Amino acid sequence: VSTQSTGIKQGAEGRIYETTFMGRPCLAKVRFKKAYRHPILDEKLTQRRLTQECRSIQKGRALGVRTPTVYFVDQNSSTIYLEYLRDSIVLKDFIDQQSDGVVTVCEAVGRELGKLHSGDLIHGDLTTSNILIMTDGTPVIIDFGLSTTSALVEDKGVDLYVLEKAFLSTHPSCEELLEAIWVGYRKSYSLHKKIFVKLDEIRLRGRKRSMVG
Amino acid sequence: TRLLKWLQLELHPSKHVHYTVFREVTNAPSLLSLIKSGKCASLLLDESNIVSPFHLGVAINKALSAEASGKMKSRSVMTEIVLCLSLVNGISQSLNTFGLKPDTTGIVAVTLGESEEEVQRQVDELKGQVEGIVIAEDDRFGYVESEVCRVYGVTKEEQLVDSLEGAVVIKIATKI
Repeated sequence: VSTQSTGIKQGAEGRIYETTFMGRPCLAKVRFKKAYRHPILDEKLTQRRLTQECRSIQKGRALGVRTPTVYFVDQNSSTIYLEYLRDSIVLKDFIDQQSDGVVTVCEAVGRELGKLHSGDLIHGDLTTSNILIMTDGTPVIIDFGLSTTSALVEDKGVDLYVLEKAFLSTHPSCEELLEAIWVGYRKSYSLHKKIFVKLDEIRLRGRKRSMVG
Repeated sequence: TRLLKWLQLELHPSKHVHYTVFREVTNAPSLLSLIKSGKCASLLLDESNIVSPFHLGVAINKALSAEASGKMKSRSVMTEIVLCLSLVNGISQSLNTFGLKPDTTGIVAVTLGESEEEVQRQVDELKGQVEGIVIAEDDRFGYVESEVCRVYGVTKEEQLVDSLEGAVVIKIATKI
C-alpha cells in the first residue's frame, strides 16, 4: 500500500486504508497474517478468502446488484483495492438521520438482497453498515469478505436473520423499515416464501429460546 | 511539446507511463512488421476494445505488479499488459483481440520508461513511425460498445448496474 494512504478502519480480518488509484478515491483492504496459524495454511486460507471475496463481488454484479468495482487485487500482500464511493452514505446513517424516502430506500435494499439470494449468493455479514445508499437512492452492497454460494434455504434464512438481529439492535423501534426490506425482497425473489418460513424457524432457535413446540 | 497523457500509477511511483492515441492510421501492416522485427519500443494496441485511459491503466498496473514480484505470465512487460487486458490466458488469442490488425485505423500506444526523458524520446520516435493523426485532447477512446461487451462478456444486467468501464475493470482486476 502506498505511502499516501491513511488508515481508516480496522476489523478482525484486516485494516482498511483510504488512498487513490490513478487519482480516483480508493479503499485498500489489507488482510492480516494470522501468526497463530501455520504459515502455509494461513497463506492458503487468506488467498482463498481473497478469491472468494472477488468472485462474490463480481457475481453480485452479474446478478444486477451494485457493488464497488475492484481496481486491483494484490495476492502478495493480500490486499484488494476497491472503488471508494464517496457520494454515498451508510444505510445505518441514512436511517439514523430520518431522511426522506427511507421506506422506499429500504424496499430498494430488500430488492437487491432478493437478487443476491435468487442467484444463490449469500452475503454472510448483512448489517446496515454494509449497505451504502448513493445520492440517487441506489443501494450498494459492500464487504463480501464472508460471502459464500449456497442454494440452501437454511443459509439464506440465516443471512436474513443476521440482518434482522443487526437491524433491530442498531435501529430499535424501526420494525416498519425492516418490513419494507422484506417487501422489497419478496418482489425480486420468487422463492421467498420458503425463506420466510425458515426465518420463523430460525427465530425460534436463537439464544435463550425454548425449542419446545 | 510537453507530453499530456501520463498515467499516474501510485503503486509504481518510479515508472513513467504514457499513452498516445493515433487516428486515421494508414500504415498498420508496416507497423506490424516493425513490431515483429523488434524495432518498436512502445506497445501498439487497437483502439476498439479499450474503453478509457483508466481501463488501460488498470491493466498496466497489474502487469507492472506482476513484473515487480517476478510473477509475469509472459516474457516481457508489454506482452504482460496485453495479457492483463485480456480475460483469457493465451498470449496469441489476447494479441489477436487487443493487438494491431492489418486494417487497424485507431491505435493506443503505451510507452513505459524509468524517466520522463526516456518516455519523451520513445514517443517522438513513435510519432515518426506511425502514419496517422495524434489525438492530443479528447479522453474518449474510439471503442465499439458491442465489441467490448462481447470480448469482456458484459451482460445487460451488468450494464445497468454500473458504467461499461466499471464492468470491464472489475473483470480484469479479479481475473486470476
